[in-house]
Amino acid sequence: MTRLRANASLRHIRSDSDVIADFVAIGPAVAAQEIDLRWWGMPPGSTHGTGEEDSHWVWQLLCEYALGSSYREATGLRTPDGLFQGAMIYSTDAESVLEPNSGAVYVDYIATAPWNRRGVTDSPTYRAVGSELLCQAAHHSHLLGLRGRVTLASLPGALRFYRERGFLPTGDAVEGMPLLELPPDRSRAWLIEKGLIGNV
Amino acid sequence: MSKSRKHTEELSCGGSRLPDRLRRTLPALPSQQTNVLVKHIMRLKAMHPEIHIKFRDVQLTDMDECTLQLLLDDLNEQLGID
Repeated sequence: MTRLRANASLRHIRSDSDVIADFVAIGPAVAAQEIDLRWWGMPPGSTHGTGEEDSHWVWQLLCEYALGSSYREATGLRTPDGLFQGAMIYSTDAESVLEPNSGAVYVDYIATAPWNRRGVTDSPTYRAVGSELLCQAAHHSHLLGLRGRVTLASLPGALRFYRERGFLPTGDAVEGMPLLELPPDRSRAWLIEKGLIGNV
Repeated sequence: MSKSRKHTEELSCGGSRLPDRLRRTLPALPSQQTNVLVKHIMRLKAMHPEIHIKFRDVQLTDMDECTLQLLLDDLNEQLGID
């Protein structure tokens, strides 16, 4: 597959079935209407409520930030009911930390919709949203000749999630958050497992 | 990573903007490019200036999808992208 995939399969937990969600490029207007207003059910920028670390994020502004560079992408996973189940901003012009002088994709922001989180609801709707978004970043890195390297700053609570997917500590940090990186061999293994590249 | 591995964790959110110290110096690209294939090839050319470009004298935006795909296939082969 020499192009990014157009969709991914998410697990609908209650019905125990798979649902196909489309990867959609997100602009500021869509982000304002479909993420900022819907995800937290409150005006963008409001700090009321959930205590989730991203509940104050304004995706409209994050998408404007994404538009500021031709090397950035803003993408979301949208299910057939029209709802965004997750969103991600990433940069394709990053430097690898583990392999200096090599390129990497850097995930600036990634989040799943509140109704998919165990910390917000006792019965999340979909699983695998974050994983599928992250896999898309790894695939993009591969397609850009960056050998699947993905770098990101991890919140403490997400470290295990990333480690399970092959990310390694770099010893570096951004704003106090440890920088992790998915190295080429682990990225390749993941992409093969997902059927996105061949096992040659 | 084996095929049978079990992922137990789900992601809620995370991130921080790419710091300048981790940003590569790459040439600016036209920001209004809407053709996904043209944008992808432009990025490949910018990130891998060593690659040989077929149809060098033709503007990417003037190429049809078939020619763009041929060009991309050639670039992928040079870069070992499968």
